[in-house]
Formats: sequence, structure tokens, C-alpha cells
Amino acid sequence: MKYPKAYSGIKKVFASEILNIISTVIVFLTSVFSVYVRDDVTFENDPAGFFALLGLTGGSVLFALIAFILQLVGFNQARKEERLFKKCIYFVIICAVCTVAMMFTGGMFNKICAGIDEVSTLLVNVYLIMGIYTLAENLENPSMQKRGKVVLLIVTILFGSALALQIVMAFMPEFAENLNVVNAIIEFVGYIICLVYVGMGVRMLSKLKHGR
Amino acid sequence: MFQQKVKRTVKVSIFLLTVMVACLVLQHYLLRNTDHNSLRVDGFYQEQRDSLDVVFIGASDIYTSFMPGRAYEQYGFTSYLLASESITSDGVKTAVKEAVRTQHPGMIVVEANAFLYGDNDNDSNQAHIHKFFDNLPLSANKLDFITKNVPVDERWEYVFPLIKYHSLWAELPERVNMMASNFTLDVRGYNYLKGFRTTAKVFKSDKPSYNNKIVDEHGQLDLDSKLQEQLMDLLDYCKQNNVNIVFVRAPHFVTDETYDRVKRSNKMASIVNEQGFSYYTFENDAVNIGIDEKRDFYNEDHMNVYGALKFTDYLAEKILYREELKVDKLTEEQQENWNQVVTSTNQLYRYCDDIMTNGKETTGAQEDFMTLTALDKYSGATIETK
Amino acid sequence: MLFNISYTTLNFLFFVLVTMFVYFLFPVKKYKWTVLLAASVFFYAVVGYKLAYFILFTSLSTYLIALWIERVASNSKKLLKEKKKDWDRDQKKKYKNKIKIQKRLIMTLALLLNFGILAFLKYYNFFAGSLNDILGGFGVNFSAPTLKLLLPIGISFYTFQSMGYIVDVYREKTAAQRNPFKLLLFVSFFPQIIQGPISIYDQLAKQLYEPHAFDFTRMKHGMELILWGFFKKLVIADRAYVLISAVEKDYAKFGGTTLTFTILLYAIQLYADFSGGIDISRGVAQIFGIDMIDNFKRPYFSKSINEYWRRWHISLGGWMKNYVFYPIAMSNVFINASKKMKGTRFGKTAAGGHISKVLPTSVASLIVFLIVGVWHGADWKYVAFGVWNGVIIMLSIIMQPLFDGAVDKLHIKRTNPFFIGFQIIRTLLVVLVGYVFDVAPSFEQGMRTLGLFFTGQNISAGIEEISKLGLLVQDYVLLGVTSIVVLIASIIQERHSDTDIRTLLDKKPFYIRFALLFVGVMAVVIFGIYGSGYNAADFVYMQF
Repeated sequence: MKYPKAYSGIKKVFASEILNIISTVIVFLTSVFSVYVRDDVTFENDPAGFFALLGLTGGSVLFALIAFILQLVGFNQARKEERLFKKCIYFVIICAVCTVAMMFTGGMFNKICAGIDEVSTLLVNVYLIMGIYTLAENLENPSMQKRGKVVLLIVTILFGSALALQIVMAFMPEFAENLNVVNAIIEFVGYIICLVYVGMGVRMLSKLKHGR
Repeated sequence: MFQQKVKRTVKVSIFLLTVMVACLVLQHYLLRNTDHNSLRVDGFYQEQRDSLDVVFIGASDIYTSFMPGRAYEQYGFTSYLLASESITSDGVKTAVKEAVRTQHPGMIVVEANAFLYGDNDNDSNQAHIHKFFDNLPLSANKLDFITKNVPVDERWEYVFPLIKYHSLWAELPERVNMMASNFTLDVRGYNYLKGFRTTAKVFKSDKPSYNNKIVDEHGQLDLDSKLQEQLMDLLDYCKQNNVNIVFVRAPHFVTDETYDRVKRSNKMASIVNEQGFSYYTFENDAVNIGIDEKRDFYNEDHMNVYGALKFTDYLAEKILYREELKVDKLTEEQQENWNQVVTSTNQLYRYCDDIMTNGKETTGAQEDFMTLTALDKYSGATIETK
Repeated sequence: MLFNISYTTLNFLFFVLVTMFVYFLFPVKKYKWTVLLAASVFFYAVVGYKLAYFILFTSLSTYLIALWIERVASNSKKLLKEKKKDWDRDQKKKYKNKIKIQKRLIMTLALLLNFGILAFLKYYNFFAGSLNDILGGFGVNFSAPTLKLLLPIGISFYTFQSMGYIVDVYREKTAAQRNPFKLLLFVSFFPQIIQGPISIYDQLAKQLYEPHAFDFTRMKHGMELILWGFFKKLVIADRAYVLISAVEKDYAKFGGTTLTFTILLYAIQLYADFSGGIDISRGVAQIFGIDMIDNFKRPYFSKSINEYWRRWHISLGGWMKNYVFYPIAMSNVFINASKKMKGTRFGKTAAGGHISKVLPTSVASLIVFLIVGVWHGADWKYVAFGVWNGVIIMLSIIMQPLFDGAVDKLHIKRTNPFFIGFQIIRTLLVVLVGYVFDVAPSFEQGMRTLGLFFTGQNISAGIEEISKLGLLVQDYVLLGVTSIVVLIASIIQERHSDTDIRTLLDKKPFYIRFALLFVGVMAVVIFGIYGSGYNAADFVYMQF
């Protein structure tokens, strides 16, 4: 096998992204439930519901944490065979630091951390795609290279649109709710497209493993 | 080749973003004319959207005389003082629009000061304009003000105040307290005093007060034509947008020099009433409020905490009962936040009382790092009125 | 100005950004130059639309006259070819002379028209005032009227540039431009219209009209140069100007120490201001793929005043050399005078032989510097500035053998660092004397200042005066630190004169480049003198 470490690393990254999606979905469902279905679940009036919500919230946090560790381990493994993945580690750490900072701060500081977090997330994706692209180039896989270019372009455009929407929301907060939904959809679509490409990358590297 | 292009793009983007973030940090925390006005306005934008029942707008007359913490404690409604030193009439209009944009409050209370000057010089006073507008985040309302009122060559510095204030690097050591206050407020995410500021001092005047005389003063003096135009503009806006707006005139230590303002206030009252809005001339009502001229002011234009407490109770009652203010329910988190505000307000009262009782004085008792630190040794229990 | 679009404003950067986008995305490569023309026209309209007809007149007259000269030349060549067999040598020579005179007359027309406008607008009031003073001194009751004359932006620069082009067409060094709009672009190209450099047609035009594709390295280098220009202009020059302008307002009341300090600061301010502006111009041009001549090559490292003028305002020096110095030095008048002197008894001596040999060059230098002095401004102090530099150069040419002899006799190694240091300091002192007349409001005040250098020093009084001139201690520290930064950069560039400092920087690791550029940008943002709180000092050379 030509790139065993890269294969193993990217597979872990892929798994971490799946865990992230699950964690996000759980958080989303929990918030929807709390806001729109029952906003008065407490230990006193509904212990079962309370523990269920607590379990779900805890679960989502746990998934997110595992995903973070898996991502770091995966990138660390993959970087031994492709240097671009090393940059991913830096930006993953920056994302984590900003996420923690955002939890404890408000105001402009919080906004700056949020901005850095978004950009770092984008850069993780960019370097991940570039890493897979470079591996595809070395393996003389033109279709994966072409896909890589397209995916990179789409991801960048979607990020730019999300940024533009955020600027619009700052000026027209009356549309913030709707625009937030649009923003979330755009970011989710970009995320999925990137994930699909990573999955293809895993398959490309695994084919070599099995001699195909 | 492709990788080179992407790497290059990423490097350039990171560089540009780093410069932008650095400039933002400089603009917001370091090279900024941070004072009580900026802390007050920043604090307003930290309030959760649509969480305020009342927004008070005006100049120092209002932010020294109304205590939101006291109003919440005694009357249960939330409020904020979106006010700035010698705010201009444009500032008042923009503040009203911003309050509507971000809070949709049940009521907006405007202190009349900005419209009562004998001429419109205050409206072109650059310091007074900047003290308010520099601290507003970029919004359609701010851009509207900039495009209509600011000369083309100065517009960039209204959008990026860093252009005007970058030279403050030479004064950083003197500004440490305010910088620390700014940063801690920002990081904390909410404001303890909701814009209230006072001076711990008892005013001893050698001039006689006309406060008793103005009770029967019904005379009127015309407003400055430009200021009147601004007022009409504001009233039209409120009508078109169904804004529940009330005008007030806070109590002052009226002397012969400031007597004309009383007459202009009467004129403004008649204009406002004609348009179907309420105007409370509390200045003429100082006796009913229980204002003690010898104790309750720190200078001719502003009350100290003794006067502010009385006035807050009086005004809050008027708003709640006479104007039938609708009060929204608060979440647990918000209630906790407001309880802290009540505690801090009461502590501030006791802090100022302690200073004034001992015959000392201090200016600028406000939402800043040093003052807040000094409050810790005071009780936050309710202030009982005698 | 319609609105402020001077080089160190956000408006200008925004304007360059928009022009960049349009230029590089312009679909028809052949006509990309029209984007630059449109941008230049827009820029000139914003900065000086009221007097725009002057630049249009210069451009049109230059265009038409160049074509005329070329037509006369080509017609004459055609005729000569036809009459090759019919005419004898004398006839051909006579005809060629006639054509030469004709071409020269047409060229002179262009020079008279355009230099005439420049001279009138710039110098009429000066001469009228001087004439009134002289006549008044003789008791004559006549006074020439002074007029309210406004100078079009960049008139000195574009007039010199376009007249250089006319002379090049006359000399048949370059073909006349057939497209009037292309010529207008050459005359009005926006990065250079305010302060130069004064370009040679052959060197600039080809680059202007050729389409240039986007090139990342070129863009990066251009932006680095712009940043460097901003740093010098906003952080150093405009800061130093606060003190200099305070002194200029009430010059006569200041003592020797203050004036000495002001002149030293002026040396830094002038260099930073002018070279900073040129760097911005060159950086902007480089983004569009156009390399303009570097106007400064570390002039304060010069070992002689000759060398100084080869390193300072290089394009003006080059223009003067090509179009004034050589025509004078190689004119028959001076060559004959030199020959005549050589034939005399004095001319047969060693000294006389040397002087007669260098007579044309030394006198031509004096004339050139007289013009350079007057070019700087309409005042006797600028004449004094020009005369001072001209005389020093003339004397240095004439006395060169003496100096060489002294150095040899004292066994001084020319590469000895102390000797080099001495030469540099000596040159600086000469230059500083010239600067005195730049800063002083009049010739008399300039002479007074020179006297005070020696007799009017009082450190404590000077410090007291300087502390009230608008700058804080922090500003002086900053000026010191930033001047050292410029000095270090200049030393590095001097040591690697065969390459550009930006190319050297490219070889450094990414984090070093990132850090340097980031610090550079932040230095300009934090320490730059801009915004309404300060009056941004006008570009010193914008008045020319």
C-alpha cells in the first residue's frame, strides 16, 4: 500500500466528521424540542424528560469531544505522508481554542473569536481537500484531482456566501431569523460536499490497499 | 501549480484577516476614546434583543438621574440608558431608531435636552457627535446619519473610528483604567449599571434657585428652528412606525441663567402634545418629587444619587401607571442578571452616600473597573426611602 | 479637489483596487491601456478638474507637433532618396541643414508654448515682484501687476516629460505616437502625475500600451513598495513635518539650536516624503506591470555632491543631463571656447589645460543647477539653492586634480572606511547648507540661519523651544527608531545593489515575511499621521 498512514488518518478524520454531524443533529433536535415542543421540562415536573434531555446533551458533548480527538489523531497520522495535513492540526487547535473562548466571553471579543473559528474551520477543510488532491496527484488519479478543484471552489463560494449573509444580517436584523436558517443550510451543504470528497479520498486510498 | 495557487491564496487571506482582526482589536479595545459614553453605548448593544421594556435616550440629564436597577427592583420593568454626553438632535433620532431596531421596547423615553439649546451649535460640535456615533456599531441608521451629515472627506473615520483615534497610542498609559473597563465589560457580556453614572458631590450654590418659581411658569420661548425641525422629524418617524415615545424634562437647579431653557421646555411640551405625544416637565415638578435643592444636586444641571433615587421612583411610577407600560416576562437567566444590576445599583448608592457623608467628593462613579471594584465592600440591599 | 484622493488616503487605495479589477478583468487585451487612461483621466478630474485644460493643451500640442516634426523628417528623407543621384554633396548638405533648422523651429515652438505656460504660471508673480522691487529701488513709479495664478496639478512633471518626448522625436530617437489617446496616457499616467518620476517616452510608453496579465509576484512586490512608501511618508515625513511647519510659521523667532535641529529633521523629512511618495507611485505602477525609474538610490550615502545628484531625484537629473547638460556642454559655443582657452598661455599650463578641458561641463553644470533651483520654486532662495549646488559641483570638477593629489600625498586609501565616512559627512554638510534655503522663508533668513549654525547654539534654550513645537517625547523616539529602520534597510539595499530588497525578502521563510509585513502595516496604522485630527502634510513636491 502506498499511503497506509494517510489512509488510516483520513479515515479517522472522516469518522470524526460523521460524529460531528451526529452531535450537531442531537443538539439541533434538543433545541427544537426545548423551544417549540416543551420549554418547561425540569427535574421536578418531568424527571424522565429531564434526564433524557440531559443524556442527549451530554451525549452530543461527548461525541463532539471524541470527534475532536479523532480529528487530531487522524491528521497527525496522515501528516507523516502528506505535509499539508500538518496545517490542518494547527487550525483544528485554533478552532478549539476559539470555541472555548466563545463560551466564556461576550461582545466584540466573542464576535472576533467566532470569526476566527469560522475561518479556521474553512481552512481545515481547504487543507484537507488539498491534501487529498496532492495524494491523488501523486497516485495519478485525474478524476479525483478534478473533483478536488471543484469541491474547493464550491466550498469557498459557499463560505463567501455565508460571510456575505452575516454582513447583511448585521444591517438587517429583522431578517436575522430567516437568514440564519439560510446560513445554516449553506454551511451544512458545504460541509456535506467536503465530507463526500473526503469519503471518496478514503475510498481512493483503500483501493490501493486492496490492490485494485 | 494548482497547489501553489491555493497555498498562496490561503497565505494572503490569512495575512489580510490577521491585519483586519488586529485593526478590530485595536479599534475596539486599545486605540479608542473609551469613556463612560462608550461603556454605556457598548452595554446597550450587549443587551439581548427585545429584552428591554423601556429605553431612555438623551444626554447627561438622564443618565445621571434615572437608575434602571432601582426601577427594576421597585417596579419590575427593565430599562437601559442609551444616552451620551450632550447628545445632538441627530444622535437622539438615531438612538430612537437603534432602540426600535434592536429592542422594540414597550416605550422610549427621551429627555428633552438636545432640543432645548438656544442655538444649534451643539449639533455641529464634533466632540459631542463623536462621543455618541463612534460607539454605534455599523448599521443602516448609522450609515444614514453619515451620508446625510458628514462631509465626504470625514466619512471613513465614522465608519472606522481607528482612523481618527489611532494617535491615542501616545496616551495609552493614562487610559489603562478605561481600557480595562472596556475589555472586562466586553468579555463579561453585560453591564452592571445599565448606563447610570453619577458624581458623589453635594452642590452648594451661591445663586438662588428658581425651582419654586418655575412651578407656575407657563411662558414659552421658541425653539431653535433647526432643532424644531429635527424634533418634528422625530415625531413623524414615531408616528409612522407606531413608536410609543414619551418626552421628559429632568429636574435641574434652575437659575436665572438657565431660565430660558424652562420656557423652551414649555414650548417643546406644547409642540409634542399637539402631535399627540406626552411630555412631562418634571423640572417644574421638583417640589412634588421631593427634590431638596440643598442636597440632591451635584451641579446645576445634574442630580446626585439622592436626587436620582427620588426621581427614579417618581418617573418609574408615571411610566408604569400613567402610561400603562407593558412589562415582558424575563427568563431565569435574565432575572439573575437583573438581580445583579439591582445589587450593583444599591452598592453604588451607598458608595456615593459614604463619600458625600464624609464631606468628600468624587467624579465619575460609573461602570468602570475601579468604581466597580470599590463597590464590593458595600451592601446591595434595598435603599429605603425616608 | 472634488474629494481627497491623494496617495496616502483610503480613497486612493480604493481607487487603485477598482482600477486593478477592471484592468485585469478587461476582456480585450489590445485595449487594456484604455483602462489606465480612464483611470488617469478620472484621477486628474478629481484632483484638478478646474485647470484640466492645461494638461489637455500640453498633450494635444505635443501630439500634433511631434507628428509634424516626424512628417518633416520623413518627407525630407523621401526627397533625399529621390534626389540621391540628382543632387551633389553640397546640395544635400544644404538641404539637410534646412530641414534641421525647420525641425528645430517646430520643436522650439512646442518648447516655447509649453515651457512658456509653465514659466508664466509659476514665475510671473516672482518676476513681477522682483521687478517692482528693483524699480522701486531706483525710484521708478511703475508696478507690474501681480495676478492670481493657480498652478495645475503636476504641471512641472508632465511638461518636462512631454517636452522630453518632443526632443526625442526631434532627435529621431523615438517614433511619434499616432494615437492621441495613447499620448494622453503617457502625459497623464496617474501614479506619476503628482510627483513624478519624470519618465523617458521609450522607457515608459511601451509598458503602458502593452497588455499585462496578473502576476502574483509583481503584485506582491508592488504592494510591499506601497507599504514602504506609506511607512516613510505617514510615519516619518508627516510626523517630522509637524515640527518643521511650526518653525516655518514663525521662523525668525527661533534660535540657532532649534534651527539646526529643524534642518537636520528636514533632511530626514524631505527624503522620507519624496521617496515615500515615489515608492507609492512605483508600487502602484508595478501592480499594473509597469516599471518606473527609481528616483532615489540612498542619496545620503553619497561621497560627493556629484554623486548625490546622481542618487537624488534621479529622473530630474537624467532629464537635465539629456536635454540641458549635453546640448550645452557639447554645443559649438562651449567647445570653441574650450579650444580657444587651451590655445592661450594659461591654457598651456597644467591647471589651465585641465580647466579648459572641463570648462564646458562645469559651466553646463552651473546652468543646469540654476534651472534645478528655479524649478523648485519661484523665490530667490531657490535661486540661491541652485547656485550653491551648481558652484560646488563646478568647483569640484575644476579642483578634482587638487583633491586627488592631496589624497595621494597623504597616502589615504580611498576604500578606508574612515575616509569614506568623512566623504559622506562632508557631502551631507554641503547638502544641509542647501536645505537651509529650502526651509528658510527668504534668502536673508537663510543667510541668518547659516550664521546661527556657528554663533547661535544654546542647547537648553533649544530644547525648551523644541518641546513646544507640537511633538511629544514619544514622537521623537518614534522618529529615531523609524529613521534607524530606514537606515538599516538602505544599508542592506546598498550592499545588495544588484538586486531588490523585496527579492531578498522573498527568500526568507514565510513566518519572517509575515511578521515583517504585519509589523509594517500595523506601524502605519498605529503611528501614521492621518485622519481629521491631523492635517496630512501636503506632498512637499506637489507644488512643482
